[in-house]
Amino acid sequence: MSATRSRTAEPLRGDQTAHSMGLWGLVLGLIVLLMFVAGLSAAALYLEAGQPRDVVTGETSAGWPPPGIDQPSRLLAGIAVLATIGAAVALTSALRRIAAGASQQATLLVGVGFLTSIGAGVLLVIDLLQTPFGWDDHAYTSIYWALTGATTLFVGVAALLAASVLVQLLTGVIDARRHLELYNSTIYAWFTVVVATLLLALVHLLPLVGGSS
Amino acid sequence: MTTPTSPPTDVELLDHVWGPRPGFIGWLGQCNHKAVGRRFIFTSFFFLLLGGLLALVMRTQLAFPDNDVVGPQGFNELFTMHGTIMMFLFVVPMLEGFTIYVAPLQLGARDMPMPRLNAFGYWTYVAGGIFLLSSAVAGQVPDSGWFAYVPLTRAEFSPGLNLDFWLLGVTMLEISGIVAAIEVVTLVARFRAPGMSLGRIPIFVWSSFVASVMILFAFPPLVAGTVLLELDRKLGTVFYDALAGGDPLLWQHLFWWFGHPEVYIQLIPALGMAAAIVTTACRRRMAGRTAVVASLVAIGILSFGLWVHHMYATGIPLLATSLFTAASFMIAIPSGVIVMSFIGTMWWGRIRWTTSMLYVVAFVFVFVAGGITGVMVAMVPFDWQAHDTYFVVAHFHYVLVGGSLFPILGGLHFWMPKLTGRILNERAGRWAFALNFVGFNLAFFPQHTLGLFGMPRRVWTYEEGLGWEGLNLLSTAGSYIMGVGMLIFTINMLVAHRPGAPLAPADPWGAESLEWATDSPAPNYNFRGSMSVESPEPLWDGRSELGGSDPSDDDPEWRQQLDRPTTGLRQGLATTLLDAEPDHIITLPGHSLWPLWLSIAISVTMTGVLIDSIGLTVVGVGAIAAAAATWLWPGVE
Repeated sequence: MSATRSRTAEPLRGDQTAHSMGLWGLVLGLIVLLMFVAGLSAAALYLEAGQPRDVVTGETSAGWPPPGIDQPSRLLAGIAVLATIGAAVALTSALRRIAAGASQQATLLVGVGFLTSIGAGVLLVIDLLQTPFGWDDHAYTSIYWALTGATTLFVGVAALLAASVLVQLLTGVIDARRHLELYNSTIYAWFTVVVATLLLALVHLLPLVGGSS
Repeated sequence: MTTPTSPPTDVELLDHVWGPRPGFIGWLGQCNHKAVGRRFIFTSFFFLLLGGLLALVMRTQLAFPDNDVVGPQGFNELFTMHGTIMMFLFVVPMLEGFTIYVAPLQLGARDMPMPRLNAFGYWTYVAGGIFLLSSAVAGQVPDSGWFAYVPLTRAEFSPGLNLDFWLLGVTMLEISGIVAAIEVVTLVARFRAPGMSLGRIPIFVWSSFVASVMILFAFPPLVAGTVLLELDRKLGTVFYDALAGGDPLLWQHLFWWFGHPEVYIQLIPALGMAAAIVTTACRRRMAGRTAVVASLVAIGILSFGLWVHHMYATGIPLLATSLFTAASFMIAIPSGVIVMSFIGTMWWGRIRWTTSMLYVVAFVFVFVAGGITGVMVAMVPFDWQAHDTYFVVAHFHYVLVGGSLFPILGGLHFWMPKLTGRILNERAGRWAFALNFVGFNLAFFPQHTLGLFGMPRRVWTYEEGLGWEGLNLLSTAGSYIMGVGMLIFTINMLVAHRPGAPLAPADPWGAESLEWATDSPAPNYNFRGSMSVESPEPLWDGRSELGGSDPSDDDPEWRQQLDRPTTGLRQGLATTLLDAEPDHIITLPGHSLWPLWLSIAISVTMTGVLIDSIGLTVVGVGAIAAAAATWLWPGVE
């Protein structure tokens, strides 16, 4: 790996990779975001677990979702998760290409990552707009909107980061020797995959586990 | 005729490179840890006085039965803002301020690792404080307690903007706390002087590190909880609405997941401050130093397993309450180890009875008393009797005043020379201490009895003949005595900073840690010259290199680069995680206004949400994106 990936860190030993303090900030920031996601996930689990249950079957007698509320299709959410994985893979490939000095290929791959992230976000927005219920109908619908909305936000930030890196590549700010921004954006893209998988699984698969009406 | 100017010496060059830019804009754009730390400390001291004043009004109201100084609504607002100010605007920011100012000096570093993030934390704290206080101008002061229990805080029961001010303001303060925590963790991990391995890190820095890690795990779930509550209030979602499948207790879980560790986040750095004072005042190493550090870590971990003991009265299953009772008992063990270490240090040391040391002794007495009543309320049968009574008010004031306020006041006496170069008057300090200690105990000890006599918390008045009159009057008298003590403390600070007041030497206390190896106040660049830490007490061991030497050609190249900043860059040394061996030269940013702009953009967004203005919210979000992108763009500043 390049020894000067960051503009602000000079290694004192030749065999080292120089990471700026920003990488520490990113990793700790992701821990914070993960705890925020954990709070949202705990809310979903707590509310589902708190629904009245049938003592014999263990299933929620009120239902999750409750009677009268149809569970939306899982198709769009599933494709959105695949798209976030695609974006992360594209950025990872871009990172390898830039380190090898192939900046044009890296630019193309970051562009793919950006568009794929945008695509994932658009799919999630469509998913929300197509829901047959409002966010105020039931705790289930509130959770559906909040978790899908939060995922959309995380995916949107990933798209913004990819766009920022794309501009930096096109203007020559990032090159084979200095590309920490791409490195950090790639880490965030994989973090988005984890968040999207977790939150959308809670939204769409919890009714299967807890017992849908 | 012009006089030829000689080139600046290395020290002058260092001072210039690390100094602030001139003028008001330069002042605004300061990111250096000393400027930001001092701002945190003195801003939060202002909030301490404000919160104390609110407490005095409350005690005046409760001095006599059927009193009518403030009405019930005013009393609700008073106890809400008192708690909110003390928890969110005083204690945590004050401890952050001390950490930001003192920890880099104790570690031998030149600055925090992310100075602009540091400044952003401060501006967001100020913005959050202004946001909360502006509720008074709008006539919509938060009025549902500092814990904002649902369903009282849902829109149907709190229809005004009161709670929106609280939720949005507290979220800004949480953001401020989180970014400061990220800074501190990185600082401790990578910005230590060569040789300062994990076992040689000062206890205060250890305590700040533990509290910062706790913040990373405790604060975000509360942000999630406040977001959900604000969605309930603004958009009509039903997370907390039992009629629509929601659950009000969800709020209590999310809140106390934050709220209980928050108590220890306020306690642990204060313990570290007290440890620094007691070591210096007793002129010996902290007894059981390793056990103290291990106990701080243990408290940090255990504190996440206690949140349900705030919820015993909510119908939690008996098995769960038993588990949380056991966990609550367990935390008494590391707390006891720390207290015994303090006592041992005093026992084996030769005590100098400085004012800061008096506050540490008071801390031991008061905190132990608060800890004992804490064990009492951790027991379910007792808690069911004492829950929501003045017994609990007395308990947590003994913990927080004893565990946080007294060490902070001692810390202000101890570190003021390093903060501003001035030394507080010891005689006035002793008077203030005596009044604070006596006043505090007079104010809060009777509240134990009041609670056992059945006086509930948060009542704005009470009838005559309930047997509460005398103790309430005594409590009010005590609060006024403490008020006088705080007044003397404040005047002492002001007098010490009058023009022409004597300057403090570099090490007025004969202390052991690195901050005392440099001038008072610390120069712009903190340290120069070769440094090597050989023990936890580098100023006492006689072996450590403490800097101060001029760079020579024999020094390694990186050392000369650091001490002769001919490139005009602010550069510091990053060391390895475990053994603190020289690892990287890090170039740090200096002046920047982007943190301030980002805080303003967040405030605009929050105001938009507050007043239901989609346009303003969109403008704010756009401004956040623009400010963040410019901030992070390589080479802008």
